[in-house]
Amino acid sequence: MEFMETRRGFLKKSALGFGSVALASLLGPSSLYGNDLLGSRPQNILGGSLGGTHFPAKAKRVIYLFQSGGPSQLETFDYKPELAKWHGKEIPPSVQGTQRNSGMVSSQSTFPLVKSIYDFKQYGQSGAWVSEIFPYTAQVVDDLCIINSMRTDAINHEPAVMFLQTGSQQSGRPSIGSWLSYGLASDNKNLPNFVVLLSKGGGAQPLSSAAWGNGFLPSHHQGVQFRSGKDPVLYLNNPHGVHDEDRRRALDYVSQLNNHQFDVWKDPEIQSKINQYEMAYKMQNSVPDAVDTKEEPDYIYKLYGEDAKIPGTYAANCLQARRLAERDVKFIQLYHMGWDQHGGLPGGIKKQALGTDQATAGLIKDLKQRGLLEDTLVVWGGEFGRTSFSQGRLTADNYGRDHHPGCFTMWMAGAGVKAGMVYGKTDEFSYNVVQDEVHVHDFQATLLHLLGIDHEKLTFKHQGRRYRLTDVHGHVVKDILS
Amino acid sequence: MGNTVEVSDWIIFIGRFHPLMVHLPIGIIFAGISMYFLARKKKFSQMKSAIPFLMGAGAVSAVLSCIFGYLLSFQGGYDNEALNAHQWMGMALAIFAVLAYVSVVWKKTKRIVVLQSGLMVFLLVGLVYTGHLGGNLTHGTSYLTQYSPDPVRKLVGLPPKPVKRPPVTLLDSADIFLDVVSPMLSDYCVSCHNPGKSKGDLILSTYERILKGGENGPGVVGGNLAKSELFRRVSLSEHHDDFMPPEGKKPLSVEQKKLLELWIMKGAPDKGQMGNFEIDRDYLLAANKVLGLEGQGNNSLAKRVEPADSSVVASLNAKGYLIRTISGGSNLLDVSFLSNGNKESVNIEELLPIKDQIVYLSLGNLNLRDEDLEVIGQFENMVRLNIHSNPITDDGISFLGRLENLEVLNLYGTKIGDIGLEGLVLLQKLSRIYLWNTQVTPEKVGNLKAKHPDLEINMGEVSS
Repeated sequence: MEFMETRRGFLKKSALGFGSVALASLLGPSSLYGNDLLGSRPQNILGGSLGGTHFPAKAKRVIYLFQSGGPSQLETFDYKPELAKWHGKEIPPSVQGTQRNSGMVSSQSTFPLVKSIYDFKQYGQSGAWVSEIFPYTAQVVDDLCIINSMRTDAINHEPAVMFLQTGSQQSGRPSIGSWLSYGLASDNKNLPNFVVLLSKGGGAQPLSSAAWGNGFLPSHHQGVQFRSGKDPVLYLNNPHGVHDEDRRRALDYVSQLNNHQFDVWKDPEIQSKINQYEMAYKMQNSVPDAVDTKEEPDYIYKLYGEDAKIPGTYAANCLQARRLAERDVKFIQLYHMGWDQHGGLPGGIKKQALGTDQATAGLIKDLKQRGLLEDTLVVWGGEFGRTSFSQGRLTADNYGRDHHPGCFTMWMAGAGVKAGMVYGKTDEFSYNVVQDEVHVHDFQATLLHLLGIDHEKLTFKHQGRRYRLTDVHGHVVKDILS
Repeated sequence: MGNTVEVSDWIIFIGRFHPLMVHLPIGIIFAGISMYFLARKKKFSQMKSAIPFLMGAGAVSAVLSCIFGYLLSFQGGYDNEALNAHQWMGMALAIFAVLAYVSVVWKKTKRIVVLQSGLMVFLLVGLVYTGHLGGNLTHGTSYLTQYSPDPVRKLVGLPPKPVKRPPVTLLDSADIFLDVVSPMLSDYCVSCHNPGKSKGDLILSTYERILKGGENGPGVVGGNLAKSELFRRVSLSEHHDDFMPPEGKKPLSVEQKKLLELWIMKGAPDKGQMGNFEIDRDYLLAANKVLGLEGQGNNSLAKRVEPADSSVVASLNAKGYLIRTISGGSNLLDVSFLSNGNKESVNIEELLPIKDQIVYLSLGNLNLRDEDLEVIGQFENMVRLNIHSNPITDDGISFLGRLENLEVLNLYGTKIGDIGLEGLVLLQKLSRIYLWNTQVTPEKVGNLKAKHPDLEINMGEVSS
């Protein structure tokens, strides 16, 4: 006590003070403060703010195969034979209801329904319907849990991608991988907790790096993007004439300086910087081994498709993803663009399928035979679905489909998810969800649950408020848990 | 039941005030009647003047209650018989309430007073009975008896309260009848086969009656499935006329039928712990599923052990092991050693101090030898073991036969052959085994799959 206290002042303060502390402990500390403020737990700068999962995790790592652009559910997994009867007819207002259309069909005066040009068949013991454009995926349906009843709030690419990846349509929130990197300790100190792999080429729609951004979390939790070229990480070798020991010593001195600055300013971003330098140094050794696919035997390339030999393709990235999963990277995020078929859908989606189908199925098979599907969760899906009516003119062999937030298909496979399940139903037009809706926040809550996290308890205080991935929403979809 | 004609919201809205309204006549008439009798005593004679008012208010509110109640009945969803009884009793009561009012404002004669007393007593009894009927309608007929203590139950002729079984956490300690068969019959059969309803003269709520059966002969004959009518009925094709439960009711699952079969084949005992019977793997798996012991509630992961010695954990961490508890609140450990690709050797004996805590162990792509497996064979609580791509053979694999809690075993890329596999399938809890790139032959796997249909044997997609 620096200043003189009056007797009354002291009593008043201590009574109120002790009282509120007691009250706080009665109410349950974690519910009041969130784990970030508890302070009793040493803050692990490398992640692991939770200090342990809330319950035993089914999944130790995630491979998220993001199909950017919004793959049509109608040409892939959501089989609607009834649409044949309605083909070419106007969509009934009772079906469309109050769901909004995007501005891109505002000049359209007619909204003819259109059936899938591709045939569907039932596969596997589960009898799941899969379109003929996915012959390889069809072989692994008994390992998948296909969710036909996904729903999102956003109708355009950027906000919809953000919504799935960060739980908010506006960019600036941490992505799923960052939350996991922040909450769960790394299993491999030599590789980043969160790696991002983009397919080369891409589509008409840009993909912003905010989708794998750390938002307000310390910046070393952002996704580390591997380049889609021959060298996934540049400048791994020391410059000519610089010895490894020199590099180490230089880093140690830089780190000392940084630590000194941190003691003065207490800016957590300084610690992030130290971590990033340190990780970069470790990656000099760990990355060459992780990304060197030369040792992969031919039969593995056959499994993923010949494309896997070309760096930067989706197939090569799938193979890469398996290698990273074997090395216990926590969150491996792939992005493959080009699913945005506003027009020329029959040709466009076929091309997309050719570029991804075999590798996706190959990844599932490869993970499974290595036993990795036991504790690896694989997620496949885009940011929204596509409309049941045609965008642009409907001809005998051509049509388009616009963005549709009302329903779309995703699948999950592996750790803790029921295999060989088809979950949720849409109406006969695949326009509205009629059974077991899974909202984006529900999906996120379920994903965290599989990793052993209660989605309501992984929080971070920022600008006076505690944030979480699912904001104030989300219910774990218990029906799909095995 | 449900009325198909659309009913105006107003009707139901007003109708729903019935539960509020009914308590007025109950209270008011009760007060009126008690005053009526009390006022005969001199001490309370001043109450006399209030009786006409109370009986009047009671009559008016009783009539209103009837009207509201009638409106409420349009909502549907009530048992018709019970609804009718309550409705007619209510209306009769309202009429008697009006009569009672008329009688108290009427001129006094001796005859009327006698009649009046009878009317009041009748009204009181009717009030209680009608109220009870209404309560049953809203809360269900078992509302009053559900929590009644045994002396009360005895008084109204109910059997003593069944002792609630604690939830099953370990399969071995579950009772084959009380925990496995009996709850199943209660959920699926007893609603029609109880002392009150006894369809087909069959009662399935007590052990003796289950054996005795109904009009089609004995329900269960120990050790004889063919003569057990109960089993025959539930295991017929669902379209068969005799199939039970009848159409529209949920049939028993495959696993539940299996357990019923198990119970009968074990002689249909009235009690006995599962652990005391010799039970085949398929039945155990079915029991796990029915009792909800698989997955999240897995007992292998709910095991209580002492926390691992933190100095041991720290020293193992320093040696490159990754050691985690499986969740924040558990002392069980998930231990792994991440290979750097160069087939490092590890000294497995270092893990012995934490052997009781380890449930997950992942040591893939290292230089484990057969003698190392002798050590791992002592890790009794192990649930998942991943030792893929290690130079281990059938000689070492044989040590794993002691890991009774093992559920998942990853042996791809090892030198395990048919002999080693043969020993492993005896592990009762083993549900998945990975054998890609090993010396196990597809013929052997085909054989074992036929014998153990629930064991998933993964041979991989492609091989070198």
